[in-house]
Amino acid sequence: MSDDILSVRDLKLSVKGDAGLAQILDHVDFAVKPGEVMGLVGESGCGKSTLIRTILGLPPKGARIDSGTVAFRGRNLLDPKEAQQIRGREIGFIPQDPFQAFNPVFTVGAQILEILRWSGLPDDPKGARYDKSLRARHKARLIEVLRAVQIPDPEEALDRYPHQFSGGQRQRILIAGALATRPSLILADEPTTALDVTTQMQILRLLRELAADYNVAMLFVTHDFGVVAQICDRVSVMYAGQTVETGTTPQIIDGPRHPYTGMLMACHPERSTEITGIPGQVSSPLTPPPGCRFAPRCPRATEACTSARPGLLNSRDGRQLACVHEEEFA
Amino acid sequence: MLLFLIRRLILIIPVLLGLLLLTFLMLRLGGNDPAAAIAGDNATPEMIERIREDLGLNDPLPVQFWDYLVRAAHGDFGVSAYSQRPVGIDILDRLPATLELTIVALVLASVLGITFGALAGIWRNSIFDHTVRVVSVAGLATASFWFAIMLQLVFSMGLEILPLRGRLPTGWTPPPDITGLYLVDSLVTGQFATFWYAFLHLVMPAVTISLGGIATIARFTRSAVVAAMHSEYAAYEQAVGYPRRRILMPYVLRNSLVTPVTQIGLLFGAFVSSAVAVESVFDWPGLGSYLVEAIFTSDFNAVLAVTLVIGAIYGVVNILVDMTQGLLDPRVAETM
Repeated sequence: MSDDILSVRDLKLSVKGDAGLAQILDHVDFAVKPGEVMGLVGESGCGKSTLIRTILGLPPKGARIDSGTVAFRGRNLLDPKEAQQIRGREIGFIPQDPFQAFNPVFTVGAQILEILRWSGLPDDPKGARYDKSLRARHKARLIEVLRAVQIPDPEEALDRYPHQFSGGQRQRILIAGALATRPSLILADEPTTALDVTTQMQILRLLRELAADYNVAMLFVTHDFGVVAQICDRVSVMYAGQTVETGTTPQIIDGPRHPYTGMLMACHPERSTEITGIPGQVSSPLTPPPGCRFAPRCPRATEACTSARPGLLNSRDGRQLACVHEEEFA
Repeated sequence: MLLFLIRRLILIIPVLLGLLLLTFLMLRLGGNDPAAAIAGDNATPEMIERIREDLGLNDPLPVQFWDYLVRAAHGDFGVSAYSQRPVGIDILDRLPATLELTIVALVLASVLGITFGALAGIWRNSIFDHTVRVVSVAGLATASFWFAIMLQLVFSMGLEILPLRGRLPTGWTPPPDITGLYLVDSLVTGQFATFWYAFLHLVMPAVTISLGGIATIARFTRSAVVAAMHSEYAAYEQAVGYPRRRILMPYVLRNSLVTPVTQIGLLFGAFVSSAVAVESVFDWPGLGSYLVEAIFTSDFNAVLAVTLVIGAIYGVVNILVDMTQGLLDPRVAETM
């Protein structure tokens, strides 16, 4: 447990909005170990974005932590001051949409150097002022990582504007931005969703290689099991703000035990010949069903499912599972 | 960029031709007889007819327009019926006063509009924001001539801290004519008393003209800042550890300037037309009051020439605006 890079334990978070109190996260629980690529899978609206922002120490406006902890190497990310020290510097971030993430009126070099300016490099001289020589150091480091993400002619690329790059190249530059500060964890928020399929493949391969080369752990958020299969060592599945199942990628993909995991996987077009879906719709966080939030849509639901939220139990094969029907398996 | 500049300058020419043609037609078809205006109140019909013949007013309209264009192309805009001087000379006399007034008003509107708008956007839904929004609606809804008279009542008649009219106190010698802008001329020749008086005289007319502009620029800046602060790139900048202050300045702010800058260009045109009324109220010896006199006295040559000058200024200012946008946004620069 103690060697976890990132641990999210029993996190319950609600957001006060105009429509009332939305219970966005309900006992989210998973951990990322050093050097591993951890997948976080869930549909749109399951609380992924809120979770990402909370891990970065930037919970949405009006958010309230009801219970639980979020810690980076034992340091409390729910403390804004602590989080400010960690984000950018020790947790790199790769955004979802490379077309929107850059400020269009500044050069990409200026924008990525800005990350290094405020986060610094671990081997920067202590207490050094941000001057020409420090900036030159940062620039050299940036060129090094731009080369690692295979941007041709990195020196020249620094002075170009975002719109002068393709989406794939922009995503590579953003990956370089996440790697530049030598973080031990990278948070990747659906980094391939906005890209076309061939570019997606290249970016995934690159991420896989970089994670290994730089020995950096990654929390890879996605809604796509195809992506999970390609890049993740382990995966945690979320439904409507609840962690339902966590295990190694082969365990989850080849033998899903939570009904939701199985049904979500069946929706993947490559895995089924006919187009299927999950009947019903995701419950509103304003009025979540009691107990297991998947129960209203679950074919195996019984009274036990709605009476109490099933706890996340360690099962015999090492996975964690929150389903009353699988408790005998655990 | 140079090619863009040349192309845009050439494109002004057809615009000005169209503007002249429209003004020309409106004047000629409007029913007022310029010959009668020149001849004066005591003229006999024969005298008026002779003037008509001299001026070519009996020729077909296309011929008249063509003759006017040919003369104008040679720098001859005719003689003013009112001042009996060449219109070109009159305009050169009057133009600096209007330029000084509108430039000061534009600077005032830009600085205040962008500052208020940006702060309102950053402190969205604060008391400051609500105040700016209410005041800017009021500012847009206020008629400038009414506002001018109110200013005069309060600051000149009541508090007696600002001069009522003109560019300088009566009898005060203007600074040497270098640019024609009193603020500049008095400053470069070291006449600080003149500078101070010129400044005091500028305050009320400039504030009056800029009022609507401050409101417009503030509203555009505010919404641009709000949009930029909620943009994906601002969220990204936050997620990778930029400090909040740094995100605002320069990243959000520079992005937010593109729209207001367009507005500033458009406003310049509005300012020049609003100067027409405001100059009359403040007895400001500029093109606006000249134009009003010209219209009232059917001084067609003067009206045409002033229209041409205002049109040309408007065209040039908009080219400057486009070039500023190129500086602010590299994507715009690429299309130049």
